[in-house]
Amino acid sequence: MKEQAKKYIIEAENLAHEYARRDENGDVTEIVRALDGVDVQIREGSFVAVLGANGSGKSTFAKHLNRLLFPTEGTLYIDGMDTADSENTLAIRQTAGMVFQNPDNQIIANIVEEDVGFGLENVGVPTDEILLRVEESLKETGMYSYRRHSPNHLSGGQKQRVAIAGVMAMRPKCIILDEATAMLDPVGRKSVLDTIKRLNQKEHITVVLITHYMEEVTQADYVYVMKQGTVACSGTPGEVFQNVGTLKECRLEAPQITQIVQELCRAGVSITNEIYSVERLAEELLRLKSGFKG
Amino acid sequence: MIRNITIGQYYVADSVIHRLDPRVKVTGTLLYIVSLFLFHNFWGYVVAVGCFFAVMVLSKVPFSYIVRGLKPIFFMLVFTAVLNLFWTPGTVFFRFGAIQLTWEGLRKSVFMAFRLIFLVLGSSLMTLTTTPNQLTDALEKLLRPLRHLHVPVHEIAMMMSIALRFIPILVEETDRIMKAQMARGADFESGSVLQRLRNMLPILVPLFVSAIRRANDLALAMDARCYHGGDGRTKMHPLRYQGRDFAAYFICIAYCVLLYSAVTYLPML
Amino acid sequence: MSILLRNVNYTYGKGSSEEKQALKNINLEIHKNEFTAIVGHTGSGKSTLIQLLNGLEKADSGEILFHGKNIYDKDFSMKMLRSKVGLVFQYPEHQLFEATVVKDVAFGPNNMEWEPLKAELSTFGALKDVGIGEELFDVSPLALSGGQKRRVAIAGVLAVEPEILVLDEPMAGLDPAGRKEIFDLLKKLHSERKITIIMVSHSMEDVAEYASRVIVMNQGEVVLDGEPRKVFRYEKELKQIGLGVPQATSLMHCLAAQGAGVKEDCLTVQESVSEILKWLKRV
Repeated sequence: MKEQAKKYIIEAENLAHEYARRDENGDVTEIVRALDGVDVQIREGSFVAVLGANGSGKSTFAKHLNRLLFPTEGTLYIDGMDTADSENTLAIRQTAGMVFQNPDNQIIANIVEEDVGFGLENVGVPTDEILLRVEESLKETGMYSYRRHSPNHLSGGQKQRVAIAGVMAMRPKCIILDEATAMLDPVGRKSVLDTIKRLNQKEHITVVLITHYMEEVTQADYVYVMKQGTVACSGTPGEVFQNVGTLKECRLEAPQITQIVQELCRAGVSITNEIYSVERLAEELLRLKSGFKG
Repeated sequence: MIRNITIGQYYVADSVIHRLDPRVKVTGTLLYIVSLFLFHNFWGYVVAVGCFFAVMVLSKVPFSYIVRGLKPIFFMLVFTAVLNLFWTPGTVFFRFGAIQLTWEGLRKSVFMAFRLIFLVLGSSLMTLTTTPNQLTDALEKLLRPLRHLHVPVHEIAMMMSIALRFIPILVEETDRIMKAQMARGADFESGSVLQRLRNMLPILVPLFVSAIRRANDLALAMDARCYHGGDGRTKMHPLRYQGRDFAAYFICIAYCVLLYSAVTYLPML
Repeated sequence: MSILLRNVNYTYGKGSSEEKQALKNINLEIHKNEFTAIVGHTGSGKSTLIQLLNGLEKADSGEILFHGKNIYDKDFSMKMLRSKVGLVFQYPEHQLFEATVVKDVAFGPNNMEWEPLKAELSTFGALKDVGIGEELFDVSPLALSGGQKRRVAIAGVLAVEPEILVLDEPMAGLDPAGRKEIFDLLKKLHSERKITIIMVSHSMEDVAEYASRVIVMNQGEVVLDGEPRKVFRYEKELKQIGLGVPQATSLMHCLAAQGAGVKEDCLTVQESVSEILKWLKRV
């Protein structure tokens, strides 16, 4: 991989965001610092997860990536564009598309394909081109056969894939999933994750996955863990999961497989901590066991 | 339950009526509704009813599906029918104490019920064969001249489209909220009118909170997808008249002519 | 015996284009003081099932007995049933409506036509049980955090003093620590207050750790029913219907399938780790 050649698509430096909480009379009661000195760098084409408990600031961070919010302090560049500059709004939103948490509250149109075309209509893409791109992105997300359906009759996972198609139709470089799997059941969650993984691998779309489900981040290239508006730790999933204490402070918990690996290590079993799947761990253990015998 | 409202519920099918330009359907439906109120003649109803069924068959929407649209107006129907029946002066054919029924009243109530029924059936048929988006597109286009009077036509159309999308969601949510409160012993069926209104509060507050939240989320999602009003916007399915649409307009005119001649030349019944 | 379902059928959306048999010939008995988890993917009928238990939905055929009495009998009090079988829905936002936390929790007791003193006692008792402190009593429920909202919603149902508490995905949307807090609360209610718990859950890890019984639903039918240790033996079958088993259990199955002589029915991380260590040391 030519990792070095790839530039940063997201660069946050000392990013801070404050908002004022007001009482009934509109007087400011409190200044909340939702983000506080966040440094994040994400390379083009990578799959990055941002982990954090509820209220850790991860969604506030996500909204900055799409210029739905902008920095109080510090800087954030999306593909070289400064998010502080309002001139860049539309360009940023076409570069970094966003999928939100609630599947119902982000589908605007009453028919699947019309919703996928919504963003393209907004930026004035000609009709023929819209039809082409809508078809393409519906096929990419496996929702083509539902193109004439009403979104109301789809499952949560299907609705999220429609939302992903809507983003993909804009041909973005980056897709941000702001807790997009939080309201789904395991089947729906898997279908959404499989879809974005495919987009990451085949189309080389940069993926920023914001979540508090630990199992989802095992596939990521890099993980940022957020706590009270700051980055508490970061690294590969294996590195991050090792910080049991930090994770606990962040109200998070490593997946069972990681916990088992760590417990085994603690008990003196020599095993690598970069194992995230049941099959890999079983394989490793069987090899160890045969080593004992031999 | 409120789930039965069919207006705003698109019926998926592939038919000539579904494919028609929504502008034709909106204009045609308006014409049809107006026509219902312009005659008081049996033959007129025959033409109107015949026309409705002809379009219905073409549309492939089952009759049972369209009829469901009548449920919400059932009481209004009965009310107007009774009102007309009892309070229209004329030749009395039945008397019981202070109650008297007249032929004119009977005729008027039957005709009135007919009009209301076919008004609802006609508009249901339109909404069942036209996606809400097409509908709002049609209105946006048809009302376009009003822009010069500073009417925000695009915004109104967008609002309507979104409202239509969220009606089924909020209806379902109301159902869930009702159940959640009933699980805590709430009673929505007994008590005086005032009491019952008060009892609605546990439903209305969560519903409003949720609606506001949804509106907020949706506004963000629209922003994120580069929505910035109607300027410079293109259309995925721009409205373009086809041959069949002109044919349909012609049929609308033919219907008016037929109706007029039926009412004028056939013997009064 | 608390609740008995006999040959229960339920069809959703009768007469519409979306007609679907949501429950097919369900026979179940919920015993006193069980901690039951109902699992199944969306559309398996689990939500309908729990709504039948307190009479919010009515079965098309079959009968449901509560303490031996048929709940569809004319003289059976639905109001009594709903107070004895408390149902907490997935989204607390669907039930919170009052201006303050206390008033909201008092909604149930006030509907019960109890003496004011009893209503008040059970309101504050429920708030204490779920761990909502005095400082939050006069706060608007809408200003609370996700986890707190869920607690208040549970308190609102607990306040009518149910024998059975039914919860629809009580952990949905909560972070790992929040989930644990709710689970510990349920465990406490179960062991200290002797409340029978029935909950719908998607997390097999949580089910394995907390439940004494698992009911697996698929396409409107009960396909597996028993202790987690027994039910989770059927990993292949569970995977076929879009479910799974805890990773700790799956690991043991995977090892055993490849000839390792390990005990397979481990449910938790601790059990699996000690079993693996024992196995590794064995020569």
